[in-house]
Amino acid sequence: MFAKQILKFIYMKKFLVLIMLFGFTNIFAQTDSLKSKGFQWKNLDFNASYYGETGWYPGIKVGAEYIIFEKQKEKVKTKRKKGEVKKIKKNQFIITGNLGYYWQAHNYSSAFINSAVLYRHTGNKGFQYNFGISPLGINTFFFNETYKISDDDELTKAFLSARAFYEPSLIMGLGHTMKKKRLKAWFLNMHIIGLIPYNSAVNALLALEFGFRFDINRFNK
Amino acid sequence: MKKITSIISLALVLLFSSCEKDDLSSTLSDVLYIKHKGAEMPAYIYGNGKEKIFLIILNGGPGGKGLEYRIGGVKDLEENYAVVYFDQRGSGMSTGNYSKSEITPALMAEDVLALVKVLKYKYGNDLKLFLLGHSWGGLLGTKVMLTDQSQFKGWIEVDGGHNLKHLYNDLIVRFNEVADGQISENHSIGYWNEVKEKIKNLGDEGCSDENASELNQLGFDSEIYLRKDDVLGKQSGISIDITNYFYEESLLITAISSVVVNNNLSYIWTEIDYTQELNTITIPSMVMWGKYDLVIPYNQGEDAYNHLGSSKKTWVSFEESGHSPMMDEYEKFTNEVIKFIEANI
Repeated sequence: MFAKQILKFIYMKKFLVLIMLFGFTNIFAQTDSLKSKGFQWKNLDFNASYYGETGWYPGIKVGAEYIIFEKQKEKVKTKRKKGEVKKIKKNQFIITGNLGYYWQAHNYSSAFINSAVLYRHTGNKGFQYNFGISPLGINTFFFNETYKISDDDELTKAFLSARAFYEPSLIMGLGHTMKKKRLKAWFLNMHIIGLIPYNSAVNALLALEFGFRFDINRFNK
Repeated sequence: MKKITSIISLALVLLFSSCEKDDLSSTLSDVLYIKHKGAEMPAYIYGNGKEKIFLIILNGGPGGKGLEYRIGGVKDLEENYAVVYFDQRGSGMSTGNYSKSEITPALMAEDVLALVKVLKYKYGNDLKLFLLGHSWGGLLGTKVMLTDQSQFKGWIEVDGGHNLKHLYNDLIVRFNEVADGQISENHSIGYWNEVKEKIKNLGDEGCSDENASELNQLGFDSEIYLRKDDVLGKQSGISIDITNYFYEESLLITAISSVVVNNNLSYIWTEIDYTQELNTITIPSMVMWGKYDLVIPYNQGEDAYNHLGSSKKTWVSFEESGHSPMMDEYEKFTNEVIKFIEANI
């Protein structure tokens, strides 16, 4: 009975599962093409963050990101007191894969998975800003105590009542590099998220994220 | 091993005790979801469930939120009864997937009856249920009564709309009456002269979606002036629980839902008229109206009261209220609702 309900749940959400698989395929496809140039571990970072829907519904998010393109500009300036000073600025394009979970006070908890493309600029002093788009994402609301009334008016207590949404989003944020042993940078992102379909149309969410990026290679040292 | 056995036993006891009907001896604070015909709709239940008297609140709008009403005179009722704040289809934190054409008063009335079924399942079949609808909720509540009134001990309509087809013309008349009255009392003369001018233009142009919307906004704007001139109750003493607004619901979701469902149901303003069916409502009913309601005018309330088929019906006029007597005269509102419920349990 339990397995049957889970299968039914998965079957109902199958198109969203397909989108999810498509997302992963895309990420791995990118990775493959990078491999051909030589996959570089130094381009891979992980992150963990507090993720708050509307800011204050608490959640957590973990993700991985891989730099697919980087351009570094160097300028050398000669200053009277310091002599030659090198200034470095970086522009990067990054793909990310993320998983998260948050709790909306009284109504539901929510799990999401998404993939995004980010542009990140890092200034000479380590200040960063980024913009991005996540065309692939799924958000599933798991409702609290739910009772289902069927079309023939039968009432049952619903097990694992949930609704999934296609969830594209826009991301913008800022951060700063860190010189800690393992932490690479802190960041603060704002996500504007679409929920499609929602009732008879669409809806949107706002989420704030604060977290740290870490370099897995630094853990090995 | 003993420890594991005791933990398992405790878990089993908790599991089986949770299958029994819920204990109503303590103050209720529950959130239930009703999954019905493509929608998941939350009902927030607060208050005193000891006597098994439940009052379901239908919010205004369309597109308002159930919890918007957890304030003033309605919240005070939680001391005596369990109050059920219901997010209707498309409103508040409700979710779902259905087409625009599926959002109708008839289906939304079925949703309310589905909620009734769930409440009886969870808290017991011997619940004594009352239904209160405000504004758009008054129209929806009327539709619930016309669908199945047998589920309820009583029906309370507060500044509701059973006859939106004639609302526009009724409002034009009432705006002029109130404006003349205020001008003769030397109250905000400049504003009321402007209102008269606007009303004249809107009256000449006739009812359209745009004009109806402008008239609706003018009704709410006018309450600000009526309150400033002490014509309406001051609403002082109402405790505002800020968590209702900033914690219990996702602000962006509820704001967008409100706009969407309001737009989906825009046709009701020119099509709905339940006047001729009101005589089939025979359960005890109370009609409550604010004298200075310029959103749904007083005469619509008198009309609803006159057409109701109930042998036990009550008319309550609020002399210092606009569209929301539960705020303008919240103490009187609470007392009248308690009086009505106690007389009809």
